[in-house]
Formats: sequence, C-alpha cells, structure tokens
Amino acid sequence: MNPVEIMLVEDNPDDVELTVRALRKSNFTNPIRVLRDGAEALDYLFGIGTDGKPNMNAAPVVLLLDLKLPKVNGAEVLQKVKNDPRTRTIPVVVLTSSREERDLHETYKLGANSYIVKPVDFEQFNRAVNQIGMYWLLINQQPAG
Amino acid sequence: MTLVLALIAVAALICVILFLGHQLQRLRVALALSDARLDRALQDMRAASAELESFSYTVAHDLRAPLRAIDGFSRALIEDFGGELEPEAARLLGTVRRNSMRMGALMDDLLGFSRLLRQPLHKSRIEPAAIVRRVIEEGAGMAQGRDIAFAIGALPPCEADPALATRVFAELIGNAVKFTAKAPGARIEIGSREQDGRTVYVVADNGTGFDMAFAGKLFGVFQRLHRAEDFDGNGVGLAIAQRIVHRHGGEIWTEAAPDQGAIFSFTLEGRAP
Repeated sequence: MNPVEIMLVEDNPDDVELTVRALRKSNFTNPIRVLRDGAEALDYLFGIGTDGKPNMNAAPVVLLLDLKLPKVNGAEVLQKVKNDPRTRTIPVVVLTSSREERDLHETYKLGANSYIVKPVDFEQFNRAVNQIGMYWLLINQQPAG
Repeated sequence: MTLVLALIAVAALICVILFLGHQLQRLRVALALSDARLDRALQDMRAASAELESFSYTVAHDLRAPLRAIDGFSRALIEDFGGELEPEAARLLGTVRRNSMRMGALMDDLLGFSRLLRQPLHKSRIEPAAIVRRVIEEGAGMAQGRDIAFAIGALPPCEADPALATRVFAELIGNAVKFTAKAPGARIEIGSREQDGRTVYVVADNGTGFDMAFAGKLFGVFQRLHRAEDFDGNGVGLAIAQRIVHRHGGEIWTEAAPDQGAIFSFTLEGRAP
C-alpha cells in the first residue's frame, strides 16, 4: 500500500508554500507530492518507473490541480486523468484563481470533482484548504484497489 | 398630334427610367461600400471584445496570485512571529493585509463589471413591483436594524432582462439605504411616472445627497463622491446600474442636493422614434 498522498500540481512556488502550510496547519500530515507543471504531473502519473512498469502505484488519494500551468495546462491534465481507466477514480480538485464561468463549465465537463476559487484572503484560503482536506481525505470513501 | 405627344411621353418615360437605373446603380455601389465598412466595424468590435475578455481573464487569474501571496505571507509572519513583534510592527502588517484584501475586492468588482458588459441580454416581461419587494426583503440585512420607511408606489411591468433589471433596482435601493444611514427618519420611495410615452422608474431618498456639480462623475467606475470613512463602497454600483440601463436602450439621471437626498430616475426602453 502506498501512503495516502496528496498530489499538488502548481507552478507558483508561493502558492505551493501557502497550500502546504494551510494543509499542515489543518493537521493533515499526509505526504504531499508537488509537481510544477502539467508535463511533470502527467509524467508522474503515467510515466515509467525504475522497474520498467508504469508508475501507477503512485496514484494519489486526491489531486489538487491549478488550471494555468506551463507546458501542459491543467485542463489537459484533467482530461488525461479522467479519460484513463487507471486514473479515472482519483478525485481531482481544481484550485484556481479564475472565477470565470467558462473555466468552471469547462472543467466540470472534463470531469473535475470540485472547483475551488483560491481566495485572496489567507484565512478564507486556509478554510478552503481545510475543507478540501476534510472532505477528500477523511469523509470521502473511494473504491478499493 | 396625339402620336407626337405619345412619342414625347414615351421618350420622357425612357429618360426617367434610364435616370432611375443610373441612380439605383449609384445607390448599390454606396450600399456595397457601407456594407464593407460595416463588416470592418463588426470585425473591429469582435477583436476589441476578445481583447477585453483576455484582459479580464488576466485580471482574474494573474493579478490575484501575487495578492494572495502578500496577504498569505503577512499572515504567516503574524502567526509564526506574532509574539516577537512590536505592537507597531503588528499594526503595520495589519495595514498591509487590509489593503491587499481591499485590492482583491476592487478586482472582483472590476471583473463583475466587465462580465456584465459581455453577458447577453435575455429580455422578457418583468414585474418591477415584485422585484423591488424581493430586493428590500433580501437587503434587510444591509439596513441592520435601522428604521427605514419604504414607500412603494405603482410600478408597471416592462420588457427587460430580469436579472439585470433586478440588479439596477438593487444598486439604487442599496445606494439609498447606504446614504440615509446618517439621516434621522430615513425614507426611501420607489415609484414611477409616465413621461414621453415611457415608464420612468424612480428611487428617491432623503439621505445625505450630493452636490450636483459632481453629478457627471457619479456613474463612472470607481468614482466616489464621499470619503471612505463616511460611507464605504468601491464606486461601481451606479456604474453597473448605468451600463445595464444603457444596454436596454434606456437612460438614467439624477437630481440631488447636499443633505436633501437624491432622486434617481431611469427607463428600461429607448425613446419612441
């Protein structure tokens, strides 16, 4: 069994630090795997491991995904994850600055499980991250295997 | 004799037809030219609209991230080193945070405003009387236990986008509630009158009013006629109301005097041609 892992795909190091900080402040001690762009995220999920087999054992319990990413953007990552039977069940929480309806529709259409607008206010941000952790790491039950 | 007359008549007729044909040709050319110009203008407009969309996307996404970092790290500093901070240092950090949040609110308003300009109009028959009652009920919170006398007169139905028309009433009534906060015996009247065959809706208050010398600035984005410490707000409410009214082909205007209240009047349809 791989340890419960939170996968965070975010290119802005300050946002990474704030998100990790908020998760730790909410007492989520789960390992956090940070990937800095869409290509890295896809490589991590679908790439070939050292044993020559696909990295599928690395499937995280929840994937926190920024939309605007270098190389491969968040929507493309989302599409790949939701179109592959091996990764389809990973809950994807889109964490973005964008309040645009268009982005919201688009990502839900692609199969996102949640859409969270990152608030400017850090206390609200903390609360949002705490709720994400509570729901996806503690309350939500996922199919075994 | 009659033959000569008939021949002259036919010749004249031919001349007229030739002349008309020529004129028609000229009109056709002019029309094609103006068509081309119209196409160009339409293309320019589409380009401008696409640019506006990408601009507001930038505002939405790219400008929020640094702001979040400013607020987040100021907060982290307070959390981690709060005990070691001099009271004055904590106060200064508080000012940094307050301003980053204020900027966030301004950006949200600006975005809401630009979204409003892009949103398509869906007109249907609306009942302003029901809209006004709902706005007052839902806005009861903003009046916070204050004793405001609302007087609702006749509000005939009209054709308008229901959500946007609601927004106009909400902005004007909200404005009236805000600017009667310091007036004893606050009174807000909402009604209508017929003028030049159109329904003019009116929202009047007996609040703080303003000097008509500044009326030109009233509907500008982020324009405020009152100091932040007297009345809060970002100065987009009336700008939003005006844009909605204009998109309906209507007009909005105001009459006011300092400490004598303000009257806002608007129509949701264009003038009869």
